[in-house]
Amino acid sequence: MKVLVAVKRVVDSGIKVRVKPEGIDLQGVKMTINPFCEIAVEEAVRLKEKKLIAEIVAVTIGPKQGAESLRHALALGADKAIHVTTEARIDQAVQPLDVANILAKLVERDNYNLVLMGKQSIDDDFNQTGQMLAGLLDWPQATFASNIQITDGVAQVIREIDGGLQTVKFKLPGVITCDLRLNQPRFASVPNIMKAKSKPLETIPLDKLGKLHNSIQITKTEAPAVRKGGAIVENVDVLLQKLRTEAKLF
Amino acid sequence: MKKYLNSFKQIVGAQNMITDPFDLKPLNQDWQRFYQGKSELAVTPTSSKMVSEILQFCNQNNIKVVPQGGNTSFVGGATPVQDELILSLRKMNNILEFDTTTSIVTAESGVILQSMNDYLQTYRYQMPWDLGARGSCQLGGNIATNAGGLNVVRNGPLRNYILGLEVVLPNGKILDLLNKNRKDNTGTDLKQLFIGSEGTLGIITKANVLCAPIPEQRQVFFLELKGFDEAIQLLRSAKQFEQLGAFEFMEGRILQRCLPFNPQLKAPFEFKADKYYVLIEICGQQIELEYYFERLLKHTEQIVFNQNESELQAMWRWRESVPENLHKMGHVLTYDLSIPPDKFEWFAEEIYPERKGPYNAFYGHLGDGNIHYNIIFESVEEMHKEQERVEDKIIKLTKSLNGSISAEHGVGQLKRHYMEIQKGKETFGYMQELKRVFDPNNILNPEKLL
Repeated sequence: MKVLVAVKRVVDSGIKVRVKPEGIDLQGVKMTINPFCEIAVEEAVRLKEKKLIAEIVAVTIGPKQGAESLRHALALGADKAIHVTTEARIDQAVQPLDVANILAKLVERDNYNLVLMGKQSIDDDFNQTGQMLAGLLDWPQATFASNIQITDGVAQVIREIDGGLQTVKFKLPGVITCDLRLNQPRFASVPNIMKAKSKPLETIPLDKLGKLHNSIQITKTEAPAVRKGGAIVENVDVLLQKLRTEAKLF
Repeated sequence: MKKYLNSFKQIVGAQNMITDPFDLKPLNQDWQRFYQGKSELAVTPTSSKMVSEILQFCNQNNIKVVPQGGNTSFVGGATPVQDELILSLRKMNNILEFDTTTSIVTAESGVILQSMNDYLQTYRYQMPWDLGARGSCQLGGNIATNAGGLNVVRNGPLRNYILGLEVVLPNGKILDLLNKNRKDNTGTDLKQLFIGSEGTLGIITKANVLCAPIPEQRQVFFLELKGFDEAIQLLRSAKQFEQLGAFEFMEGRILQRCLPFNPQLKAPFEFKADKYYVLIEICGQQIELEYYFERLLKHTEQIVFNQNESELQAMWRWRESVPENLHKMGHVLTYDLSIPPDKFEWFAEEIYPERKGPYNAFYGHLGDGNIHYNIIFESVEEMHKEQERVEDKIIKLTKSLNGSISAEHGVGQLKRHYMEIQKGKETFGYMQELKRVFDPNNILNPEKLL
């Protein structure tokens, strides 16, 4: 069984972002694998360790530095990598439908049995790509996976939904998007990151696989409103008064 | 203390007095709950002038005073022994200025270490020392202890970074040793006496601190080694790294026991009791990973490193949570010693041959030769029974290695009775004389250090 894991390179969630009118300032900013994509890679590696899948191929779309995220995926245990190259801004111009179309092309080319990806990326929070890909391929999908079991070509996935947990079952091939509680990715080891250098990495210019239509335009980027200071009040009467006159609740 | 309440009201105002026993409770006790004071009054002055008036009054009336910062002492240095007046610096928490050319910050001694860093971050600077208690410990307390911490291997001791101090002496006089000159060779450097004096010579109220630039990049490696000698070999290599930021050591026997206390925390390894672990931080501009891969792989293949900020924090959390986790494992006797780094394991074997007996383990700033040696007991009775015997052995062994019985934690109440053995009669004698010079009535932090 062959698995395609799509990974996106995003701004490191541990650092403070700077907002500019044209978008987030990416200049000299530390970037890393999107946390949910990393969970997807880890899950693929665990499935391989359980001998349920034979080969893991990691793919990313982006500029030259994107190869670092592929190296990370290879160090975690992926076997091969595909780098779809583009100079377009990954956090703005590389949009879900275009990504889904490109991934669909790769699936058709290489015959994967399963596509694993993060449920959403932390830069745009679209949460669309996996679903669109399944639609384009006419494949079953299970999103927000918190548990994945594969037996005899059948995937059983527990999904985290608003009401609690939902279990779905489908015959592979299919698309599964991964949620936070699915697993905790391992640390990359130095020997593995060095071995990753010799694992196959295929580079494909984006226009060979698809096109970026920019059908969604970003019209404004702004930081969230600064939280106004609260106040400590003397007693409940003052609280009620402030709720009435200042917060205008009633 | 009751007869003086009105006088203190005149000096500090009722709003700067704490008399409620419930509010005094945390101030009367150290965080490890080894010591219990009986103070009935704490004052929270808001200016050096107020501190001066308090001390002048106390000196005249022979009222003993305990200066208190964040109360994070490991040695009971900041809590009353009896019913001394607690003088808390918490309200003197203003950062007065930062000189962007000289990178010197001037602040009152009640500023919390983390707050200093939050302020300095805007200028891309940080405090040159760092320790686990950063969210609670205060500038004055750090200086009075000559705090060590995690950055000593990179930046050197705290002493190097204090350019000036304002100190209120026990007689109330304000000694102005503030100075923003990087170089000043004009005779005996009095401020050095107060750094590390643990509040026994004067109360630090302001400081001029030379700050360090925030490293552009930080990279953490966590290594698993098969033997302690491998850790020493690794240390020898790491000392050649110009960008070495930190070198911390943990025995596997401690980390393995920490696993259940950090269930959600991503572990770099499945910690094993018979292995040894080292955390190396590299910081600087343009960290060339391949350079470190090559050199570290010569020591072991078991190396992981962080790919992002949250992994970096996770690796540090394993190291920093050791002290608090130890306390969850039982009753802990902890010793903060300086000995030759290559003798850590030998030392532990000498105390408990084959490491048999109560659970014992060491961890710490291997890069500075500073070992935190811990013995864990199931009950307080067992601990007290064993303490005298083992402590005597530890102190004597440390002395025989020409080591220090307190590398960074200070002396406080905990190690007072070892001072003469540690320093020798002559040196200790001079220390006591100096105490008499500044504090003839012995009102400041009595029964501590000396």
